[in-house]
Amino acid sequence: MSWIKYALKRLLMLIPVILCVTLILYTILSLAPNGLARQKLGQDASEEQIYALEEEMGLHDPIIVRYVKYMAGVCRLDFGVSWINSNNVLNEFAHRLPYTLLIAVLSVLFAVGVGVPLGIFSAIKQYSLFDYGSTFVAMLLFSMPAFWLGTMCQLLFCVTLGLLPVAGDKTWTCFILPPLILGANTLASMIRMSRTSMLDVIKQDYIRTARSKGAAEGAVILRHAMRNSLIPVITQVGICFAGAIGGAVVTESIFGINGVGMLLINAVKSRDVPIVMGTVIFVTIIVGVINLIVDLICAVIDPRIDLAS
Amino acid sequence: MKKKFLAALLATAMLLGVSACGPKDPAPSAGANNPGGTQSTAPNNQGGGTTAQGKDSVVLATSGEPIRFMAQSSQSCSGDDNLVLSNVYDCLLFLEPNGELTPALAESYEVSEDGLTYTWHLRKGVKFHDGSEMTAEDVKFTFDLGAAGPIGAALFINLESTEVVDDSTVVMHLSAPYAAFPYGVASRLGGIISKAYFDKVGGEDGYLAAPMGTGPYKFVEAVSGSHITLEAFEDYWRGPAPIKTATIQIVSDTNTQVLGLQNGDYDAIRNPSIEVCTRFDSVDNVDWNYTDSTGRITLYLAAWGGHDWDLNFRKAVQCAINKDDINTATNSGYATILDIDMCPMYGGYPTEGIETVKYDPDQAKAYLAQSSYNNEPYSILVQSGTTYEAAAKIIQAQLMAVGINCQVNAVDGQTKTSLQTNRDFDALIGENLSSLVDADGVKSFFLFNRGDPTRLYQREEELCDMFAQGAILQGDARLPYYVDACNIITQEAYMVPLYNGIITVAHNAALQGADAHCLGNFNFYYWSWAK
Repeated sequence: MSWIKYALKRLLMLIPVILCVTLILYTILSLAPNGLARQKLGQDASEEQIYALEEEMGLHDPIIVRYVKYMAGVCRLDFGVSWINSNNVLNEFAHRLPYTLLIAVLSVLFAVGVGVPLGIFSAIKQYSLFDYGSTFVAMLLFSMPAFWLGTMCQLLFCVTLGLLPVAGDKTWTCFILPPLILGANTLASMIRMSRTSMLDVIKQDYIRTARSKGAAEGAVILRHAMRNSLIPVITQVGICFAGAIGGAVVTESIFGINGVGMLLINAVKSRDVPIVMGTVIFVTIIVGVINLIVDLICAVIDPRIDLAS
Repeated sequence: MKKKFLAALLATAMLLGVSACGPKDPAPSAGANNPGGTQSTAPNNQGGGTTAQGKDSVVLATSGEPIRFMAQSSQSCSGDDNLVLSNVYDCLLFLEPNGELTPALAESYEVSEDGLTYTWHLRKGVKFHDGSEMTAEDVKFTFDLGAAGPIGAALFINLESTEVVDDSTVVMHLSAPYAAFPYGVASRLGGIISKAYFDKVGGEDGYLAAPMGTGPYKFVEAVSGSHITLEAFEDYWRGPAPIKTATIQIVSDTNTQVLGLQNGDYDAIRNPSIEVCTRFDSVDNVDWNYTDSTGRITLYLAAWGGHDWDLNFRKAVQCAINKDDINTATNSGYATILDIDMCPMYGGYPTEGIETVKYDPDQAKAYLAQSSYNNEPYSILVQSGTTYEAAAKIIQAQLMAVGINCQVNAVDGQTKTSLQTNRDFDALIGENLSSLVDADGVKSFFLFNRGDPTRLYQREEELCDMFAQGAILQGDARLPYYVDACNIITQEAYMVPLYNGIITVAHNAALQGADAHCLGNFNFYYWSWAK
């Protein structure tokens, strides 16, 4: 039962994290120049109309009062409505999360499914052509920014070869390129991480012992080495997945996917405070929970990790 | 062996990169086609690409998202909303792409001699999307609601009351004559709404969620951040539109829009830059066209407390700016250079008696020598990421060439609005759009100062009086006031008009009627696929 206690403790620790994140963010957003009321009502709106809208938005209260009111609403699961289109923040996020989750999951599956075997095989065949090749691919993918790689893939697979749609989220073919682009960087990390980790493990004494006892090479790798080498890889997967949830802005923008990243970036551009705050809170919770799950998985894989302590 | 493998791998990667970067067609067209004109079409459509066989739908890609679908609401509306408003609602008058007014829901109208009364004769048999007939009561309701809303004071200027005379006649009373009033009637705020439906759906919120008008398209759905779907209204008073389904797709990335158009994912893209458009000249299945917008791109020069640059300094700035260079760099030379802060299509645009300032760097240096300028930093405020930022950088170079220590302060839109409202800038580049398509729109910059009352131009009140005089007169009687106002602005060097804005549209070559509109409207009613 120690893992339940551990999980509860970690979840409770999320509360101060959320408070810190939201306070800092709210203060920055509130201090930035905000001509939203005038922009929304137009240049020719009267002072009274602008004042009334600002009052409705609560812009005339001191920042701390606004923050406390906002967080009180959050405690009642009332995240407010968008200042731009008056849509409910919770609904907006819920509507867009599935798209982001889908490309994040697919991208991580792609990165893990391709990257880990490549990395492990590279480690086993260290300094071979395959090893050099996979290291080169990893470096290449790592150094290519998503906006460039995405555009190049659009040009090649969509415009030139006509195989896929350039953008959109209506058919399954729209979800082929985005996960590959989003996962390209993660794939590079996976190759490097699993290679390095495997190299560390296969030099350990217990691997030498297993070999000396006459265990087959495949069994040594699969049963003894891989399990231990996966722990840092799993940690990395968690970090990358969390990053994909909040950081898929570029990919979503290039491929016209109506996800959380696009919601956040548009809200930041238009100073739509309720959307920015709500999205950041949700993403913080998701990232916290993913990290917790990763820790629990690590504990399951490696019995030496004692959650109770 | 290993070295060979690595070399082959590198070469393959480079080839892939280079082939993907290269143009689809080897010979991009040189030069600009018909610069300065009102319409231009890419000449080399060779009929390749998309076929339109049996197609009756279009997808328009746009980065700006329409979000408010009733112009008269207390939430106001923006230019992006026009994409929906101009297709769902009809006005009493149509504003044509070239800025002319033509009859729409009003078959005709008369203006009283004193300019205070407008009598509108409504078209009979016009139906709303729910099948109910449009009545004079609906017109009155629309104008009463619009006048009380946030943009009523800007678009229904001087409208005092609206009176229903009979089922097909409405009279509007103005508190003072206003020459540009018909443009307000033809603006988005004049889109006629149904009083009965407004009451039925529970008022503004219900109407915003499910808008309904008499326009050629019915609103079907809006998915936030994704798309808006419109469907042709079969009982439309001008006959049903050839395009049965129009989808407005929100695509924030402009490169994606361009690639999507080439790939056939989108049928048209809204307002791509001229630079992008000229690249379409070498693409078989894409055409493009452009027209002058109702906006002026102008450099406003501060001359008030805290930013009190003297007249000689401002004149130096005036003379140091080469507008042709700016036009070439930002619009490939397609834009119309402006001498005054008015678009030539505006009602009341003066063609004679205007004083202009020519590009003369030597004269600029002479003015600078006479000024009190002492190499202080001079900052140009501009919204970042816009073509105006490029214009600002060119002006920076031009001003530095005559000895002005110029800087560019590129900020986001909200910050720019805030600084502009408070008149907290040395110089500012911005686009002033005018829905009224009238010379009176120029006054908006002078009326915009609502922050610090001490930050006024010395002759601001005099200018506002002149614009007020020009607005109440009709026809050529208005011109002397606008000539005087423009000449004061030039003599005092309050601003440097740069160029007329441009509206562009790029579309599938098989799509007909997709012409750019001066207000950036997209009237799907005129669109059709080539047989």
